[in-house]
Amino acid sequence: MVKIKKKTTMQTLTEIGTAVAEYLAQHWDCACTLIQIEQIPGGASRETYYVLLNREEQNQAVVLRRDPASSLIDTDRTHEYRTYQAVHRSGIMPVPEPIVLETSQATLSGKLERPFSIMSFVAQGRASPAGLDTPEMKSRLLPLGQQKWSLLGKLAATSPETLGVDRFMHWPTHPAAHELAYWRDVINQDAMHPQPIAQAALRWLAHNLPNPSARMTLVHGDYRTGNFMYTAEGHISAVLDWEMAHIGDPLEDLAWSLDPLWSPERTIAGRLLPRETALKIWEQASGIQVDRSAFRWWQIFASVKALAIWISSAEDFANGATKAPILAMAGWPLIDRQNRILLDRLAPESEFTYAEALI
Amino acid sequence: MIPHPEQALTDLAVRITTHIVPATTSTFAQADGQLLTVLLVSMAQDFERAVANRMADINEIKTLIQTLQKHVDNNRPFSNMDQTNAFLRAEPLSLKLSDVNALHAQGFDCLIEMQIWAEKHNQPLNLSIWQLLRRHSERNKFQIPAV
Repeated sequence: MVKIKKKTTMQTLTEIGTAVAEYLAQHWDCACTLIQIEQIPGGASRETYYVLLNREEQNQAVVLRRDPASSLIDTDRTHEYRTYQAVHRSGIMPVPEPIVLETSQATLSGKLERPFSIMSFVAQGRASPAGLDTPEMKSRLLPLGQQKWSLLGKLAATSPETLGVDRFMHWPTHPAAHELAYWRDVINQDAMHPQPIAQAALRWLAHNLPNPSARMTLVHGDYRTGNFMYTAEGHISAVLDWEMAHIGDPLEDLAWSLDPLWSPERTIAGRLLPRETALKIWEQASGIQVDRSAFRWWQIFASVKALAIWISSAEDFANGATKAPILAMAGWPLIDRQNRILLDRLAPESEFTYAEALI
Repeated sequence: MIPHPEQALTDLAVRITTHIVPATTSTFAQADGQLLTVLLVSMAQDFERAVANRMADINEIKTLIQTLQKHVDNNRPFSNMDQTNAFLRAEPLSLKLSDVNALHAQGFDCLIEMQIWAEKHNQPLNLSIWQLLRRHSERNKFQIPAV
């Protein structure tokens, strides 16, 4: 993971919004002016803005995703954008429609300064995990859970070739080994203090590596509650944040989605359903019976990958340019909680206080 | 000198939540404000216990090293004994947190090496290391809402 500091100056929201309107006026070759702009909270890998425009006397809302000066996850925006295009084209999952990706140097010396993409705005729904805990959402949790893991199962049932992502994504011969090597490097490069729990988990993963995956798929890479939009009626309107997408083992996304970190209640996956129920929904939708032995590996891996991201974000907060609170949030309390989840699952004589036993 | 710094940090966190967050109309600024509140509470908790918790870890690691020394022999060699012995003799240069952290990092490096050895040669010591990590984790747990 190479962290690159990018050009950054203090810009007002109006300056950013006006620059987007001017850019899209050229891109669409029509009149386009700014009506409203708001920064959307929660994005750690890109600065995200809601931009409402007047396009030839019609209101049109878009989302600007711009590289930050320093980010939690260092990813290639072209890769992310092409993934959105592939998934949108396939119709397997609802995703925002990609409009334009801009990385050219000529444009970047202009008002938006850093690489960016623009997508359609999904008007229906919100992504807030805490919003699921409200009384009015209680009856919607089951249908949302069914959709969440059915959509993921459908993705697992679709080959990378069918989606066309094999044209720009690396095809690993051994996804588990490939992912382990990548995230081990992140931990070893970015840890600001020795991490004995992470190191013990890395050794466990190395000693218990599963066989090369029997089936390859597009892995979202961060498929969790908080990365999909849902409506008050209990419908998933968009799956977001594909910046860590890659070709790999479908069990990776399933294990990540079931990590105890994503729910305050340790027996419930992603604030929605019991973990075993979620797994069965996924099995039915994907047509894949989960290899429980391999899945144990992917569950530990999910916690280690998350820990790597939190460790990296702590380093980014300490040494990076943005000082975004989300980086410290990931770097301090989340390392603490993820470590306790790993301890529960790896330490002998565990009492499983913070995480259920591995499925 | 700041009297009761941990309480001061918590009070400032509450001030952000009760006065600054409600006064802003930007959802982004509100979210940032809520995050800052959680972070200040986390800092308050760590501020109060940091030196005591690091020293507790350091002392427990030293006790485990003494167990390790009884079991290392030519058939079960431990390659990092010099570094481990140096840690065993060391004390923090001062009670400044940065000095305590430096020795704590040295201790954690020894702990990692010791666990690699114990996984191969001594399961009771391995279990003791996991138990130490559990106590370390509980001592340093943040008392904040689930995130």
